[in-house]
Amino acid sequence: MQDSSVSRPVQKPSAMIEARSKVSTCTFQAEPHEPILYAALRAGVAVPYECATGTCGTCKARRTAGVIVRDWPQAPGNSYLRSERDEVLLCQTRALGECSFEIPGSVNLNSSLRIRPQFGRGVVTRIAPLTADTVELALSLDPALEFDAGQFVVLRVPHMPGFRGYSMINHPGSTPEAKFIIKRKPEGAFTQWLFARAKPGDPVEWFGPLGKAVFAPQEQRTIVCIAGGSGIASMISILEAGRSSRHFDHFEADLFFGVRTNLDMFYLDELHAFAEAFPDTLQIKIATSHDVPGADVQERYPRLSFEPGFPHEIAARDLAAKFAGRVAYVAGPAILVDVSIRMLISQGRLPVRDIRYDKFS
Amino acid sequence: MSAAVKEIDKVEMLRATDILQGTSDATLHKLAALAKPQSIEEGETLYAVGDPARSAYVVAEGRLRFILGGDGRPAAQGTVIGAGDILGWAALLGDQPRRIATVIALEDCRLLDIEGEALLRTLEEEPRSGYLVMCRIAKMITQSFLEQSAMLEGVT
Repeated sequence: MQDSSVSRPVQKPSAMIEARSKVSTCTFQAEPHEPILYAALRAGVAVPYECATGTCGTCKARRTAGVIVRDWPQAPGNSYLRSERDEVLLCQTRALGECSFEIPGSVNLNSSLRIRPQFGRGVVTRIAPLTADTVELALSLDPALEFDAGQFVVLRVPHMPGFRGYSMINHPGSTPEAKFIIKRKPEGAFTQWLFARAKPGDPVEWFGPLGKAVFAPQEQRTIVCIAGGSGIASMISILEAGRSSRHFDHFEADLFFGVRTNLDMFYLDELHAFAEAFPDTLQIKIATSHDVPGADVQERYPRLSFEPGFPHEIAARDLAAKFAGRVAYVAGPAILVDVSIRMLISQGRLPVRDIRYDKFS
Repeated sequence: MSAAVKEIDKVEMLRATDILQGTSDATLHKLAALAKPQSIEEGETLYAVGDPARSAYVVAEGRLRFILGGDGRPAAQGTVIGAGDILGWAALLGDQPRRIATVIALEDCRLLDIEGEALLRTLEEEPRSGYLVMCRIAKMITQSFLEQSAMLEGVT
């Protein structure tokens, strides 16, 4: 309950949003500062999305009424829109008042999300270099973030428009501190800030958890994980969940982690500890696409294996007759996710429902 | 699309596609006879990754979007395709092929659906046209492979 005796700055009221698909209609409130997609997800409305950051175009909708603001007119996902038809990306659109949107397709907007995403504040607690162009970022979070293994959040820093998606490394559950792996992008404002100016104490805004590529030990399935570069983050979270639930006591798992060269390897201590804990069931292989793995890493990490090549190609060969019945998790650069999915379908013969990925890079 | 689309209209739709340019009138008429008009509404999925690949499609009107893989087409052609384009060539490749991309209509679309096995038989019966079409498919797959390799070079 508000204390009416306290003077407060004038707040713009939230707006009522109506989202209508061919099979369902939902209404929800959106704050003036938040993308309509985020407002929908907060309210438990299952608007389709994938990256939530303006790239993939999945949250396309047609405005049928109301006044809106488009936050990023140059968003790559705009190439899937026709502006003359009032089409927008809901992740890049805010409502200035009551609005209505049509969601294309036969989408059931009634959500079955286990955890509804929310906004939170974070503070940088640590930035630790992992390689020349990759760091581990740790944030203390308020409130704590509850998430499932494999999910991601979007982050934003003050005075810089737009959110960016990153997967949590942490053990899933509720965490007051989240860790992320972030690779420098030459033209990325967020990573320029992170690598050049960010310091402990800096504030960060987050929204999450997001993503559907979730690992659930209770499914009791053998798994295969294929990750490239910073895509290893969600796999670490999956390994954490598998370790604590003792999933790997009973079910095999193979992880293929692709990097470019020996100098790009990181988290070998952590991965070795996982492999050591489950020597009979957990196989972890590091694939170097542009180098031959050094003898020193092979000697230092005897429970890991190393091989030159791309991780999806090595996975195809190693698991040639062992894909059946597995659930596959894929994360990393978009092209690696694409070719891995092709391999899992064409060579692994996995049904699509057993291939889990979120493309948000 | 009305089922009453004239055969001659189908021929012209087929002739306008890049991949069938230069094929004989006889081939185009045979293909037109096989082609079934189909409509798909905005937001609906034409096919999804992993689906059996039974047909190839000619886009007569509207735009569709590839998600994942590009269905073997070079990235330079983009992930949005429109009128005059053909998609779904996996229907002509291999034994019991499956889709390697998902295709969703960005707007209401009109298509011609040509069943893959029947299309292959027609191309066998018309060897010159068949050779032309297969060369173009081979080129498309090669380009796609080279571009994919180049993209992979730049990642991880």
